[in-house]
Amino acid sequence: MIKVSTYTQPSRFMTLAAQFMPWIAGFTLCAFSIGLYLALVSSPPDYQQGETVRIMYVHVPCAWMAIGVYIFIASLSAVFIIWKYPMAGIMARSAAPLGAWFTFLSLLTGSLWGKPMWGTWWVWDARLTSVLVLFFLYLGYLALLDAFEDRLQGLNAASILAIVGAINIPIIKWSVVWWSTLHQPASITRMAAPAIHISMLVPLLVMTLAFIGYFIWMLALSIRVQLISLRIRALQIKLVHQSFKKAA
Amino acid sequence: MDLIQRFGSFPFYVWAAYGSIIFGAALLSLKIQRDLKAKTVELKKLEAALKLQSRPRHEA
Repeated sequence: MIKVSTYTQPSRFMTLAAQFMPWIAGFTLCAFSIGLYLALVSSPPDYQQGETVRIMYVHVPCAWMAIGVYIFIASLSAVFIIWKYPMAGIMARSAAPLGAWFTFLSLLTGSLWGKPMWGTWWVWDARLTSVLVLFFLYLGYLALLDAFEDRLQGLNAASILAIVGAINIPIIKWSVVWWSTLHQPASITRMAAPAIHISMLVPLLVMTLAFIGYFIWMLALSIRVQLISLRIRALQIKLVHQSFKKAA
Repeated sequence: MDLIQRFGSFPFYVWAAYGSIIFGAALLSLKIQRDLKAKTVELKKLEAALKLQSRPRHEA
């Protein structure tokens, strides 16, 4: 039986990532090109929102990624804290800037959608505020990583924050149900059939696939950066030791 | 021609949203790739320095 850990060993990961990188990049670029065509050319305007509805095809995948990446980080943080599995910490650390970026872009595109539809760039309703809290959680996680001299201590503190902060995820999801918000309720991720026409659902799903591909692509690159940084640190220590030995 | 006219009818907000996504994705990917390049160069330099230092004195 092949163990998962076989594929997550740093050296094995580097080889695998190098092999799959062109495929992931190709998939992402293809999905994004098709998604752009479907979103901007073939999908119809909305009967109420008109052409502005096209913002949905980038805003919704961005928001899904913001939440999905956070769940990914919180799960990896739990693995890291419980089993002290180093690669989980490295993966969570690498995913955090990407998640923060998705959250920022979802807030920005949401604002650009809100202005023509609601007449305001921002409103302190439960959905928007809880997503802003998610953005601050990402920033807090990133700040904690580098707040300690000892990298491991920083990763431990950040992991605890990620796990505790996961409480915000159900709040984001159910905020539109629990409170009266300006933000619309779920149209796709609900128990009944999606309340969106197939001509709009397909571009949305293709765009989501493109965003997932982009995340995997960038995550693989970021993990490589992290692994090389660790190797550099180890070599620097070795170099200093050798210098001392020679001098003695 | 039709397509250009159609695109022209899209509100500014649509282009701003797509522009920010494309620009944002490109910026992030450039940053990560630049980091990767810089770290790879640093690693190679360190490996060379370590190799040089571990050689016996008469050879160096």
